[in-house]
Amino acid sequence: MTPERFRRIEELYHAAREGTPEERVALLAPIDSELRREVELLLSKRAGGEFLDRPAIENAPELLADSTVTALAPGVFLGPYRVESKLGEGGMGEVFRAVDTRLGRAVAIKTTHEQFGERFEREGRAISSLNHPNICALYDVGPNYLVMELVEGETIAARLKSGPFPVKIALSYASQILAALVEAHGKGIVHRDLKPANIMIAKSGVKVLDFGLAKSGEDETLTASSMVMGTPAYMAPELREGKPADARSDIYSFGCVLHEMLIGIRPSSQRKRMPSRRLEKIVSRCLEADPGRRWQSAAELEQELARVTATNFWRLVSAVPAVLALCAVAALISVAIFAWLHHAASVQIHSLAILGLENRSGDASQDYFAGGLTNSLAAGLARLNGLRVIPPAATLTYRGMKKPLAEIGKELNADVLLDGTVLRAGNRLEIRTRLVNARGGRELWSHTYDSAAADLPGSQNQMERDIAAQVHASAPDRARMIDTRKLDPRAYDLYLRASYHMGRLTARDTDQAIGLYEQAIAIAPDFAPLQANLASAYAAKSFLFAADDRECEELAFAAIEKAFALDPDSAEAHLARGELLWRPSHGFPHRAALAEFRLAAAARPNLGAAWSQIAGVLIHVGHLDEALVELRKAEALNPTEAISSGRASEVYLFQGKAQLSLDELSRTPYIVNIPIMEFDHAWALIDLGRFEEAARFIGAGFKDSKAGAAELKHAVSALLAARQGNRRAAESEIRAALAEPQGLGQFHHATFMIACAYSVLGDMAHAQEWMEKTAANGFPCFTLFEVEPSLERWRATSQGHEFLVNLRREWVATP
Amino acid sequence: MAPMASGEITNLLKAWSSGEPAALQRLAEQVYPELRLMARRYMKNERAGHTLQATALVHEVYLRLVDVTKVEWQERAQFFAMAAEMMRRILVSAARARGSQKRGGGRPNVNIDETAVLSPRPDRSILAVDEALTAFSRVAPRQAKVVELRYFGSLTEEEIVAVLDISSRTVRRDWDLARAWLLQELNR
Repeated sequence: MTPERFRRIEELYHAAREGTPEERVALLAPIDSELRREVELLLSKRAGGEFLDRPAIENAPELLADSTVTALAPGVFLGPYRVESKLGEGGMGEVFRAVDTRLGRAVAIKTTHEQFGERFEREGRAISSLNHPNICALYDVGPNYLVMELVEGETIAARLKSGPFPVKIALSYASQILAALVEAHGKGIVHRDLKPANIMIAKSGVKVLDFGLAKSGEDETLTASSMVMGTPAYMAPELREGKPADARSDIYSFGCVLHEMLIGIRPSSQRKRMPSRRLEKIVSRCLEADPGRRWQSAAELEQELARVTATNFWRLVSAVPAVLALCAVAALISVAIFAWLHHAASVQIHSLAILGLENRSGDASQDYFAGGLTNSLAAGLARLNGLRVIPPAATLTYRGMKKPLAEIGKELNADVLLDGTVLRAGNRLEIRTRLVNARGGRELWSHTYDSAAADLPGSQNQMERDIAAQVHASAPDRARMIDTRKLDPRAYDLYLRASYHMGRLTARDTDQAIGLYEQAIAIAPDFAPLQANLASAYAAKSFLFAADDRECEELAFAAIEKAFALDPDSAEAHLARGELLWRPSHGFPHRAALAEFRLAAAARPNLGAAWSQIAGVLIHVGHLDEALVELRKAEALNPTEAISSGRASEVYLFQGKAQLSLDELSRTPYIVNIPIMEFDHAWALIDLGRFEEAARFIGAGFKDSKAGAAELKHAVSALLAARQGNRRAAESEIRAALAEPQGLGQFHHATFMIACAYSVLGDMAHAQEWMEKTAANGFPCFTLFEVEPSLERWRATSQGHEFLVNLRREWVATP
Repeated sequence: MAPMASGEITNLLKAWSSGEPAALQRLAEQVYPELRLMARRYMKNERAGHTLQATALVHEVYLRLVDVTKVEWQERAQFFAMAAEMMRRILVSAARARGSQKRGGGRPNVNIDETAVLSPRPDRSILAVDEALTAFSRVAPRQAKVVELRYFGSLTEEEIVAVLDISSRTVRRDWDLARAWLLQELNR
């Protein structure tokens, strides 16, 4: 860059910045493309520049200070985590054992030396998108520390010190490592540093750790880095040459690990015999120098290895002399059966998908009964810690489909599947259930419950307990399950029907749910979850449909108090209390609501709704990355839950990644009926400049007129009109939006859109007014405000700029 | 080194201002430690929860060292420019020192008062800004100077106007462009 060229850029920059958008276009159009691009880049406001607005010395509060700092040591608190002891130290940082004081759960905290900051963030992002029993889970991300699942055990590296493993064990570990790689590669994540020291052998099985060098396939910025990272002995040759890693680089490293597990030494020119020719072939194909000649995917390799594991057994049999063969076969088969049973009993069940109980009565009016019983069974099982229950809502698409169970299991990422039938005839009730191993489709357990209809709650309770025993839940977990045995069967029936309507979120269904809960409570007034769920239903009604109905809020409040009186630790009651707090009439108390949702999650960590609500609040106060971490937890409990992935798409939209947001929405099939999601969808299209598509989408959507849809529809139409240069239409849509009732929960999204429209129209006074109202009414999402393209002109005003600086200051610390 | 009386410092400033480069060296020897001391004090107070105006910092050093009744406005401006440059050096070398201490395998330190943040990263941003600013000054010396005065020297707009002898509109425009430029460089 020469000073002359700089002067030219400077001249264009100021002229463009100070002119109207039309003048800007006219000014830049005739300029050569490279110069224009540079000016446009400078004109596009970037987020994250606030630190420049403060003097450097304010950014460095402890840079020059006397060192009164102490090391992270036992007893020190790091946010909610109390450090207990140091577990280890590596090139990247240190690892501590700590306790999450909110949940009383032991965790591992991994810190990093400062210069690894960015890589560390990448690590966090990479792992948080992974959820697999063979991958160490990520719970939380701090400024430069990660809070992870505490895996206790020994690394494969430590175990290898006493020599190679028995073939059977080596193969079992290998298949678990591959399962982890299949999962990660499926998400576009390459480990890059797979080695024996990064693989733990825990009680529950193998856990792959340290995605410290992992990179997402889309993150090209890392590829550009010429720095070679990783451990040379296990590193694929192409990585040593500084070429980008892909799944096949991990396959090379995996080959090294398998080699070492089988014969105790790393691959080298010095040959040593493998246990079998077939294994020899598998390993040497992993170790090909040319990635094109290796196994091309972890899945392919997994299948091949599974075949070896299966035939190993028969190879042994065929080695026995013929005369003895018959006896040997009989003996070996019985050993094998015994081994299978033993294996089945000790099979690690981390996730269970509920495919649902089918109504076998032939009477469609009984459908609700089978459906409600299924939901309730799911809710009961979800109380088990350490078991991920994939609820029936997530498996709906598979019902009636003739897909092999093993495939369903794989798609849902479940270890076992639960299905069955229900027959209610007269006052008899027959429930058949079974657990099926998702890998292989073998039935693990089945049982038929036959009882008087009046004893339904007892049957269901027995069923939950039996299943809990099958999946090896611990005793305290079993004790946590709701005891429905004492519930009157008529109340229980009503409760099931109410739960069904609650899930549908329309105005009519919500009213029906309220009616049914009330009837159930009239019969069984002492059942805390009923009271709490009634409160949630009232809270939802007043938030979404009936802002002016103060009675709704009062009834919700009363029901919550009753629920707490019945069960002071009720997770459902904390959830309902948070939902009731967090609304316009209470001024959206973000911190108080978060506290309630966190209590709910602590009381019952697998209450997905609690994590999802935590994320909802975090999104509104601008903590988008943290919200994503919570959403991943909600999703882990229910991978296809609409509201979680809807909120994830919102996070992306708020981060200025409109295309990613649309991609996420497209994976959420039945979400389009929720007005706020339709609103986000239209807005993403507008941000991408796809105006005609947006117009069509708005025209076709927003059908649930009771769900606060009208103001959202008008507001997003206003932005569209403004972006298309139609001032009159934009202003008329704004008026229409403001004519709608203003007390509903999502009204601040509409006012935000109105501010955007004014900013595009160049009406800065109004833009400022509505931005201030938006933030004051529960939506101070500073990170969104800093990047939303439609707000560009408003951000350039000194008032807007100052407002943003102050808003960031107020909300930058995680609430 | 014994501190000088303010009369002497004022004379050095006047001598430098009237074109005696040798005076600058001696002046700097007096101002640098004082500025460093004030910066440390600022940090300490900031950490104790007393929010001070960073913009008052250079000004306060000036008041302490110089006999203001005897100084012309150009001399004052030169003093501020020098102080801003020094602040930049102080901050950059502190950030470097901190970085090397980390690389030396030190434990991650945690300030008991700020337990949620293990060790902040701003020193990295200071080094990065310093580097980007040096490059920027090759094509746009005046605009880079505005950043140095404002960002490192914590000077106010009026003070920058006086130091560089340009209009306040130019200061604002220079800042706006430089800010966009630097952010783009830093995000590259």
